[in-house]
Amino acid sequence: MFTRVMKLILRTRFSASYFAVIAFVLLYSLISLSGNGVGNGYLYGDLYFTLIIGVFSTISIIFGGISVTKSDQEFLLVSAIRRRDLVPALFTAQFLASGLILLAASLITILGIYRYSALVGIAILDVVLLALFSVSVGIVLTDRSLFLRVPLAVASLLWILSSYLGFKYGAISFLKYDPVLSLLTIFPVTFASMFFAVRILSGENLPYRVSGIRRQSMNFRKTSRYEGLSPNMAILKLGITQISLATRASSMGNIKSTARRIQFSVVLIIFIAIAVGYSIYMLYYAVPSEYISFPGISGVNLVTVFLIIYLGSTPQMIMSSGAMAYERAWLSFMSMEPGSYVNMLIVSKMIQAAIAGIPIAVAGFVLYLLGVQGTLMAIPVFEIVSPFMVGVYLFMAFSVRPYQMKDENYIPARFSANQFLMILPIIGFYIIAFSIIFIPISLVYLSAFMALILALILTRKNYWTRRVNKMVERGFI
Amino acid sequence: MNMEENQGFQFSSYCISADGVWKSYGHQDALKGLTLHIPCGERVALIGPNGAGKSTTLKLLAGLLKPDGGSVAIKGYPPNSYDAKKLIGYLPEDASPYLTLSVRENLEYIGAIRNTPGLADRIESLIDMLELREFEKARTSRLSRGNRQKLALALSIIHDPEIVLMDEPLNYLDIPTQEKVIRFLTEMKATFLVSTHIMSIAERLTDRCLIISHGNRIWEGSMSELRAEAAKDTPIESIVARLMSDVH
Repeated sequence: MFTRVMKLILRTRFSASYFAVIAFVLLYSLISLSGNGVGNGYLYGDLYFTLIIGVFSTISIIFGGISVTKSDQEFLLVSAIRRRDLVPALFTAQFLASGLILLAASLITILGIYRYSALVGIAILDVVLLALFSVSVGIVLTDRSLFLRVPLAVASLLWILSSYLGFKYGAISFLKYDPVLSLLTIFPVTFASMFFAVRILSGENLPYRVSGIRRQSMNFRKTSRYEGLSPNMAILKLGITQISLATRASSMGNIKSTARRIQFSVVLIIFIAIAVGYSIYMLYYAVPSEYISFPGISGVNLVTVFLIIYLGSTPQMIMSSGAMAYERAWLSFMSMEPGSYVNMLIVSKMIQAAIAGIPIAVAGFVLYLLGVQGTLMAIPVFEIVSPFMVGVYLFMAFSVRPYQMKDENYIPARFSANQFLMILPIIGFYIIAFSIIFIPISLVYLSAFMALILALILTRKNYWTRRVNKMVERGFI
Repeated sequence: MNMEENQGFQFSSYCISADGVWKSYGHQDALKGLTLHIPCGERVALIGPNGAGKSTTLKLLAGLLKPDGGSVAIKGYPPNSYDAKKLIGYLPEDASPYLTLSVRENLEYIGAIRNTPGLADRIESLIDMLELREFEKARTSRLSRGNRQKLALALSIIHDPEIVLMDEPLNYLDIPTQEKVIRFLTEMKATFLVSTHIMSIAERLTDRCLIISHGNRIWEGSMSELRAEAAKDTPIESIVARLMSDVH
């Protein structure tokens, strides 16, 4: 029975292309082990791994839940299937959807760091357990409110970052100290998290837990007015002042959707707080050894690099993801010419990204005036590159088989290789941002390149008319 | 009206017309040369078995799909033109409004992007008529299916369209609301093409009936002509079922 349930779950959730991509990345990691000589391809690999595990576990805690389709909820979970068959199948499917991505994204770093160490096995065990933790903690928090999720996310982040503060038993101590020491905390934490996850999946009330009755008020506390606005102003106002959260199936560890919206002002306050914290750090705590320099290129602080790279891309992509998923063709594309509508929507999200970046850009400018090296380039990255990448990201999101959020709390789409295409704009951002940070003159050429790409995106109005037909044919309504 | 907007316009005495329309999804033919002409002001029920091509017909007329063959026009305009969009109010089956907006935000936003004159009054009257007042600030994602359908109905007609295309408009509505909506829609001065499975609703909402099956028209006429197809006391559903089975 287990085999049949597993087969059904795998077929309804995953495409072969999804597994092909993951298998390729895992194989690449293993093959890289057999190379000769000590490579330096793992430069800052520990920071990269910290970031990956930090982002995955935080998103799993904040947005996580039991990953099911609407059909699972209505047929599978209410069928007479023994829990011993259903639970492992559900957990394995969830692990394949998010835990495996985490492993694929991080294993190469660990294998690189431990390639000549006898402790490589323990290090791999640490990573696998952390991936299991990331998946199971999301299941444990299925029907829990944000009031519990947020402090837990903070605690988890502290546990992950504690190794940098000298704690030898932190979640990623195996990167700094010893894989055995980190195992001492990883094992019990993951064991507890797995225990509760299995208990929830085996529970009698599993179908009700998944049904998505969240402790959320019926009404919005704050609503906006659109009456009296011109069509373009209405789109701009909605696009700039609100953020609808949605992610492609399983990307970033998130496995289900909820129709969540956030006021942009909240995000702006967070960006201001980060900018203040960054400025204080750079003025009072930054040390010369943190500066990266290349021959002929002035030094840039490592914190500045990571702040610019990650704060300039991931939040902006998340902020604009819902613009496509919550779109309604029967309303918007029936009200206006699709090309004009999509263009205005893209522009609104680009403006939103530019506004979000202002605090960091201002911090970079002020620090530059105070004589701190390598901070000025935050301005072009946050005010030109980030908005540009949002434009590219949305163009791709609408073009590469867009999915639509129609039902809350269910997987919105099958896991397929297509979702990995959405990583391309982020990689593009990294390349452009790195170039600008370390070779400022490249800004001139890259600006011209970005202007050209953007012009191509925003002038293809007829493309959207054709695109809408394809989207509707595939069920986007 | 500028030249660009005029592109594709052909004078037509019909508000809705489709000539020899073909539409396929992969190897599956949804419509096979469908032809229909609906004069302005007429109310027509689109009836057919599951998979007959009713929803595809409405999507083509709404300009959300493009025919593989044949032509479709709304008052002479191509359905995906801005001129046609101004005239059409479209409600798909299982319509979902913007889930991350409140009820009022949905109405104001769509009213604004449709450039609706007198939007404030229009919203107030629709909210009252559909009894959505207590849900004005409610998250659309938290509405019951029935209230979501009421909102969808309001959104589809917020701009007082001349041509209304509706796919199972009374789905999920309770009986008192169905009565209100039927009364409201019958009072609207518009051309209607309504897809439904429920003959009693078709009889009350429309004057004529168009039955399609396997992507083609199989019968067209007034409701009284449809009744005349059978002996007295035979339910109208039986007549429709017989007409559909004649084609198989």
